[in-house]
Amino acid sequence: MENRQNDISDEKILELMNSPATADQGLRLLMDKYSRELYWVIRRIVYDHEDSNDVLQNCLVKVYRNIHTFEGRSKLYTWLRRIAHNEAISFYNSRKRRRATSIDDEESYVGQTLSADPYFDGSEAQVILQKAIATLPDKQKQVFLLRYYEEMPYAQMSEMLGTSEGALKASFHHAVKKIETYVSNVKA
Amino acid sequence: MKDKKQLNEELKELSPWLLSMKEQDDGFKVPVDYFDRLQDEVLQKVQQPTVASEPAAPNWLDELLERIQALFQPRYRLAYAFAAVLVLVAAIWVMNTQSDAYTNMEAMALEEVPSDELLDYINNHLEDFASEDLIQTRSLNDEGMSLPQLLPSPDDSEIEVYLDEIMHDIDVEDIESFL
Repeated sequence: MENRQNDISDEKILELMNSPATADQGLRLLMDKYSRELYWVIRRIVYDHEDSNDVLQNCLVKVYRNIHTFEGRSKLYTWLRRIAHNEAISFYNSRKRRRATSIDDEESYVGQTLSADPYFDGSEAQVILQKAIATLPDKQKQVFLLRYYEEMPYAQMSEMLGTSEGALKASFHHAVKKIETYVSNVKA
Repeated sequence: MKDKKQLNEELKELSPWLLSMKEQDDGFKVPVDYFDRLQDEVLQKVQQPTVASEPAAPNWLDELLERIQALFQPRYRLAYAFAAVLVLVAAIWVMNTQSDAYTNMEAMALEEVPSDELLDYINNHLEDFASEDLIQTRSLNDEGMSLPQLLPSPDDSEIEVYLDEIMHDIDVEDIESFL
């Protein structure tokens, strides 16, 4: 049975992590509270479980080693999420370069990755949706993932991305329309 | 803080298909006890020395290969094709210019050589020239002169000696055969 420490405050986690004697305990609490959210941020970008696991572990190690640089100007989760997102994007781009994948091949890259992943058993419609998301421009994709999967309110997203709520709403609507168009073209 | 209700309203209006997809299982799974094992694995990593736990620095060769591969992505191909055409056109233009320059230089150099020296050279290397070129040699000296006039003209004594030699070598029978 899971015993997640979601109720522990960020301040307590930071206090523990910033002290060498209690840093490991602090990290364990941080992972209890945020590792699931961070994993899904990464998995939505990287697709494959094993790759997501590698990226998440590297991300948590970086957090552990650089926790002293967190100045508290944003929420802890915002800082963690930014690191996870950047690590995932770097990994995805580097993997695409290695496979010499072009923008036009995004869909086939996603299709191949999902079909090779033993931890994905989505329907054909889910594969089409993932391919459609992969064709979105980076910023639009980020907004779509935040809104659609993380169900993040526009106000919070605005604070996180430094973009106005109106622009984010427009971006999400454009993304939805593009996905609809993609899906109807595939079905046709 | 989640905004599920507002999002569902938004999707209902924008894309009922996306709303229905959201209500289905998306198919992404994680291994059993993954998040519990993750904690131990990460803690093991952070306890290793910094150098060992950091991801290996990318090999310079791998980086170079990555960059080269990136250059061959389709989005760059049109640019390469255009650049290749430009280089080809430039190369042809340069070659033509140089060829004209060489031809002009050769002509200028020949102009400085006296005509009789040129003719001597031609006479000594007749086998190296095509007949058509030999016919055109008249233009080297005097436009009005014909090819026989350009050839050396022996004096009468030389002709007499030459004829005597022929007469000496020829048999009576040969002369009779001509008659």
